[in-house]
Amino acid sequence: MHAVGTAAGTNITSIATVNYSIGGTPATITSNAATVIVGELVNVTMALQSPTASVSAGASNKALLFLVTNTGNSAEAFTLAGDSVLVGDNFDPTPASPFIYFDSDSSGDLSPADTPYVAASNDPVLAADGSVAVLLVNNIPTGLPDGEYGRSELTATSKTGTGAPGTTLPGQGSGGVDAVIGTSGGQAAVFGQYLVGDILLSAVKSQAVQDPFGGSQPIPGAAIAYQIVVTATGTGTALGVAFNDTIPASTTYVAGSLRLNGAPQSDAADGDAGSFALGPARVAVTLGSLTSAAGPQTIDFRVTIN
Amino acid sequence: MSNRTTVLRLAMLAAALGGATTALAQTADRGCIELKTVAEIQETYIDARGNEATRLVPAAKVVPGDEVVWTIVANNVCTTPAGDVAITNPVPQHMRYVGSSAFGPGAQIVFSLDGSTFAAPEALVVAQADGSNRPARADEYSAIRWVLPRPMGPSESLMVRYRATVL
Repeated sequence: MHAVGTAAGTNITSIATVNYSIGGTPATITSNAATVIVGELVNVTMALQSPTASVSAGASNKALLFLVTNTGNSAEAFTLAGDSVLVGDNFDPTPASPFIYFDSDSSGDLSPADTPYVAASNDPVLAADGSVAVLLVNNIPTGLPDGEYGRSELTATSKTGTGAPGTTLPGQGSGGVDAVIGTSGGQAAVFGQYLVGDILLSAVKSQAVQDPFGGSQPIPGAAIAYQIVVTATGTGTALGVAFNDTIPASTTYVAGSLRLNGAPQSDAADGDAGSFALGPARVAVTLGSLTSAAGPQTIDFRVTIN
Repeated sequence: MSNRTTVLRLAMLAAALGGATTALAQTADRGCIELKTVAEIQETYIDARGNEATRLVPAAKVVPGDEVVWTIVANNVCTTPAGDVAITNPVPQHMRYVGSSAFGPGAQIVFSLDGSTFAAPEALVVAQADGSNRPARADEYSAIRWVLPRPMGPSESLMVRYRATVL
């Protein structure tokens, strides 16, 4: 369901018209104006924005990013709460202090500019369809083996009220209209996870120049073949690995030259892992989850010297 | 539902909605047809036998996503038949027509995209950016018209109905 509907307190009015004729004389009559009043819909959704966070045992201040959205039809205040003692995981992350921050600088991660959340003091007030980015910050216990998952959950609760969908809260809406609890029940909760690993990524870049005369001089018209080898070493899984490289100044990317482990990649951002984009000119390859067992990942592309 | 029960329910509804004002009928400035619009919502309840059933209750409050059942009742309060009867109802602001929900016993139902020209659903098209036309969707209708192909007799009442969702 998509957000934001007709504003609470709106009157919806309908008037019908009938045309007819009596003995050939036309006439028109309108009906009464039937009106219904739109009440306040209390609804909230939450989405986890960050992928599973790769952490090492003993790490501190590791953030998970959530987006809380008011999908009701009126401004609504929410209280936030975090919980790191959840079932279904291998360990319990330790809530940092403070535990919950607003991602004030929209960096997607914890940074000095971020404002801590203090219940009843700076509860977020979201306009209809408005949203706020929230960070849940945990420390990772020491001594955890690689490959273990820990979960942490954020809950946003409407201050107008909660309850079974359809519950009416008489007069509790903005401007004194009735508030009705939407499909969310007035509350949303989503968990994110931490994955313990001790893994290191390395990338080694090499180049080979071939000039138009069969030599290896970097002169205009010469081609440079770049090769980047990405290797994961250690234990655990590196998540969401992405390779990006800017095409050097005074060179031009050779269309269709991008390869991953020898397999040609189309330049378009599409189903395959590789893509080329302008502004600035760059290549990107999505490598996804890497373990040391995956072995080296070889990326090739070519440019010509202008 | 059989036709028989439909007719019975129509008659009961007409009596309930239109009966009280019949006394005002037949004055020249009020015309020969009385028209009344009612907004209701369908409510689920448990009947006397413990079964789940639905009924229409006045739409006191709605929220986005709710469906409102709009009922329009026309009564011919004159002693002469009325011809060329057509009831027109714009889909209210902040609402979207629910496809296939319009009905009216014996009436031809036509729709409008612009509120002034009416046609059967298959004749309504929307021009696209590339110059071609596509069939209009029900949620694009801006008005509904019920055309009665026969005269409406004295004391006869006609009920038409459609549903629309609160945006």
